[in-house]
Amino acid sequence: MRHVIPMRFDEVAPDTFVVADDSGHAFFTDHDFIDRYATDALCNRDLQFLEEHGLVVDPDRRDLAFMGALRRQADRFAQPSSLNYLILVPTLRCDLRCTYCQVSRVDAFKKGFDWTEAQVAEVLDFLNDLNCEEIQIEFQGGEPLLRLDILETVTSFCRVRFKACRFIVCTNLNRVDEAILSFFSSPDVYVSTSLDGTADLHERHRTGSLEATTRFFSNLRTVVDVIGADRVSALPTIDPRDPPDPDAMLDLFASYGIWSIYLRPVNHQGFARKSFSELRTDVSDWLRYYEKFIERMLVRIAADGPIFEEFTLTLAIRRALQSGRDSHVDFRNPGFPASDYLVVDFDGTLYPTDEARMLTRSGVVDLAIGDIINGITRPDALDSLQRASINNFDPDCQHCVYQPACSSDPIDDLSRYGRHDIPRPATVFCRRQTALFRLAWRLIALDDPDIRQSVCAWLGIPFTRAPLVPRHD
Amino acid sequence: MTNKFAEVEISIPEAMRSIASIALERARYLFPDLVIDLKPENTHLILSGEANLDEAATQVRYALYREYCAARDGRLRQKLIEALLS
Repeated sequence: MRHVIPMRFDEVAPDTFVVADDSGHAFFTDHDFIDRYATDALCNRDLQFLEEHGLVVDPDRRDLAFMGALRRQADRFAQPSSLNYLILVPTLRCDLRCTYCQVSRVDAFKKGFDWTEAQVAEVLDFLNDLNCEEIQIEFQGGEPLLRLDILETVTSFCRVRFKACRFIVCTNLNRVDEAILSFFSSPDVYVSTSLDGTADLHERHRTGSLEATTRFFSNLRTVVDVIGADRVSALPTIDPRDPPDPDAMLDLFASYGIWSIYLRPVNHQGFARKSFSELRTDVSDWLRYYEKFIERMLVRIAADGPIFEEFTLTLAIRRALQSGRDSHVDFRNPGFPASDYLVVDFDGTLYPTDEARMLTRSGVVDLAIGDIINGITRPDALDSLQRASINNFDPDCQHCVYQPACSSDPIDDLSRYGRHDIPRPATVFCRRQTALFRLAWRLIALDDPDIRQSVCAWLGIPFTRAPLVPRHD
Repeated sequence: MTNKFAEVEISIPEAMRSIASIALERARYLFPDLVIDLKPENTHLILSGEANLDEAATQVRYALYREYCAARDGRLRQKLIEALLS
């Protein structure tokens, strides 16, 4: 017997609903269809449309539509791979005191917060034992460039050990000299820094003085000039109560040739737990700012400006329309913490994610799962996190049309609420993700050629006026 | 309509009445600012509170739909998962 496949829906614009099966295979429709679908009153025209789009299946005969649905659903599951992405923290020391530092950094002159020679050797042993041919390493801190010598040791080792390497140095760019520029000049080295939207906000939250601010911008210019903007990313951390003007931020990033902007609100971690405590559960200011920023970005692109992108919006649009976009750990399902990526802290402790490290250092909950010598020593803790890192069986996610493209973030839930089993719609994570995917689908639905130009560019496809997703009214 | 003394009734289609109490519980936590109750025989959901009740009624109706669709399609969804895992 043939059945309409289970589908979910959400209204993304006035009388425009996105409807999708459990794989995210979607179409747009109107309120009347939703009424007919939910009240078991689909007409022949509805059934014909659903049939034509593979949404009517015979599970007993396992017909082609059923097998197609299975295949789509299977493609939506992220596939675990061997460990090939490490976040290494060679030092916890830092030469800045940012107001929302997330990792309880320590002052640059303190002793005992760097890897020892023995620990460096253990990290190299650990790397040597990995069962992968390609490696990506993110150097975090503290400020990792305070231990350039360790970075050089690790990168030199990896270039011999692995067929391909990619190194990302997460740095405050407070200090850049000839040795650092020489290190950056290798084509497998990428630089990730923070740039809080405008110079005055950057100074207020990070550098703390005009001299340090001027030095940062000068260093950023030098690095962009030496290695090219395509190997530099600058991530703004936004205080939603006092955000930068979108145009000022876009102008600033454009002046460095950086067209991809990854907007992030202050995370509920580290020092921000106290200094930004009211942001623990309130996401409304952030959502208003985010929409305003995207609106300004789209207006500028439409006025023949360069194609900017906001990183998470691009990712949401891609994940909405394409399976297999599972590279970002915050946007994949299941999340598989500590399967293909792992954090090694300054003292050799292993964490499943960087946020788990932050939460542990804040004293909220111990999410350490092992150490560099003995490997995973707390499999039960890891197992608990892994079981919470899949959204398919969550009683709220099961109702959500965005579930196939979305993910889950038990560590953010633990950070904000002390537990990860509260109803999804009550969480900051869910409210942010829902708003993001709703915006993504709204842009996909729009027939405006200016918007479509941006959406196609973000998808990496040639411009088209043809509907990206069919509509049935 | 923003009137804390006003009420809006949402009729519940007969097929959905068996899941009405589940939908009620979910609607209550999805819309914590509203007062939501169920009429006897599960014929209607009743909304009140300081909110745009017409808009709220639409959203509560969709929550009811979602609950019903999930219950109605549960068996087929289970078959899909079982086939996926087999």
